[in-house]
Amino acid sequence: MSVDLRFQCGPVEFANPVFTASGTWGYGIEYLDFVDASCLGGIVTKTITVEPRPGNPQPRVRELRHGMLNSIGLENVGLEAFVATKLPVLREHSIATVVSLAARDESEFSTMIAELSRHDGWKAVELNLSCPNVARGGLDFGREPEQVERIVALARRAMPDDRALWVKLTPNVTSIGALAAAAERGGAHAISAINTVVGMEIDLARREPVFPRATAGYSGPAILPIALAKVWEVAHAVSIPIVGIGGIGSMDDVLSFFVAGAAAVQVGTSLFARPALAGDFVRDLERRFEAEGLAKVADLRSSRLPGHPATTTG
Amino acid sequence: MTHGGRTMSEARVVAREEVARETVVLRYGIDLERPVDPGQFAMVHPGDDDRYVLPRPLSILDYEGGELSLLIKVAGRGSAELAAQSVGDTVRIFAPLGTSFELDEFIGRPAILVAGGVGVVPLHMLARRLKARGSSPLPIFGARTPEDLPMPLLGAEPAGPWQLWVESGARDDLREGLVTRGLEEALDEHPDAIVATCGPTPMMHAVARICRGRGAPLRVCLEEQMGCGAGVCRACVVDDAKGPTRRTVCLEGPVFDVDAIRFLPEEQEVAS
Repeated sequence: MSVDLRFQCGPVEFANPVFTASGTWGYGIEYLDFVDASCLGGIVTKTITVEPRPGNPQPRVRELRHGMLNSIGLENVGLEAFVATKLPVLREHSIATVVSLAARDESEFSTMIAELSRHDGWKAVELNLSCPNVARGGLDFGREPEQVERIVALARRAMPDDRALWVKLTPNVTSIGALAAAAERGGAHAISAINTVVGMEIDLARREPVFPRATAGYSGPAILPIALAKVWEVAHAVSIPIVGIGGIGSMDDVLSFFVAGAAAVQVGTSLFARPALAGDFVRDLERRFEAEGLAKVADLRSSRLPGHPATTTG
Repeated sequence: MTHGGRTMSEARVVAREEVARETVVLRYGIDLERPVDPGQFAMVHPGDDDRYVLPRPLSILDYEGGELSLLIKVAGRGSAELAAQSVGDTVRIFAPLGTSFELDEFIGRPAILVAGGVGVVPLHMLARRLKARGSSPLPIFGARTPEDLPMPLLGAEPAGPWQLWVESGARDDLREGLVTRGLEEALDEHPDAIVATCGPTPMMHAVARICRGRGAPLRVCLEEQMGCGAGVCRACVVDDAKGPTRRTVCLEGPVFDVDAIRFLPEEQEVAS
């Protein structure tokens, strides 16, 4: 049986369904001497904002049992420098690039996409909706379905026809399914889920939270079951592809996301200890599919989900 | 795998020596693509990926003949696990990483090296390299008690003679007090000296204030919590002296000219 690992997402086809997650692979060029990222389905860049941002003061990262907390604060070089200094390198190395974007207000996403559209070397945009909306008192964009639908529709209008629009959702809400459905109505080509889980560490000696902002984003192996449950919920709410993210450290974790309803995955925190891990998954995926008699990712999808091959082909 | 001078590989412990209280030197068999310079570090992961999300940054004591030596002092559960390893155990090592001390800066003038705790590691290599080039550096080491002194490293050869300070429990060969007093005395004698330091942050802050007051050039080797060691996670940043930008300790450091960064707490922004 021949295995077809291509990931079709709106107008864009990726060679396979394995990506690196935003914030865990820099601008996609830091490991160029070390890991061949052109073999990946793609890389998702560090989140880019219009202006450069210095990010948060120390401490920024704490390792905990089975996970880590981060409070980097969207440090990045800004869109202009990204387009001028990072994008050409990604293009030169034929790396399928998904650009993660954050904005301060609803219209800024469109402005950034319009600017990106003047350049080549990227295949999709991933809206990071877990950033504060300055105009709305700093509340995250990604919390209200109406707002999500409006932002996604605006962004979609700015998108070139041959690129894909991904929307990354936070798990720190009552119903991620309602937000995913809103993103689909707005015109998203895919849902990325999940972003980090809000968490906290306490410094008992000081009797204060470790991080100046009190809370931080929790990632790593500990959040895998949370991510699987959220992907499962999203899979009941939308028919567009889901890119599963959260705690992946092994091939079994990758396959678990496919069963839970994901069409692709992003490897994140595990890359810090094993930069070659995503590439290893790409290499091993075809072999594993062949061994298990699977032809495509959708063959793994749970029979209890809508869109299962057995329930839709009949 | 080995590319561009950085090697990531499984490595086996080939020798283990206890050098002080809760402090060991472990030697690992590993073939690095390039030689190691003083200040450079390794990211070391115990290999148990479910229990340890991140690798640990450890300064490199020595690399020769396919053997990499690291000094490990128990500070948390990760370092405790590494320190407890015995011959035959394996880890995953990513090395050599980061910048190093520029030897030429320390030659032809008095060079004072101020080390505290595990900060002895990069300065030990620096002192050895300087002596190999015919220079006579003045290494000073401070610890809390005599039991915290890694005596096997602190002999006259290959990196000494060391001036040794302890906060309590002085003996004939040890002076009681803070290592910074040794620095002040050395600067009294050699006002034109260049200083290198590595150790606990409060100690390095004190060293920086003394050097600033005396107008002595200072190179610091920083220790910071790291995620990746490759400039990717942006965990280990310090503020740039000039602009709003931040610099990564893992790529642009760990060795900095102290004037290139905002090192002292009173210089740092509370920005976000």
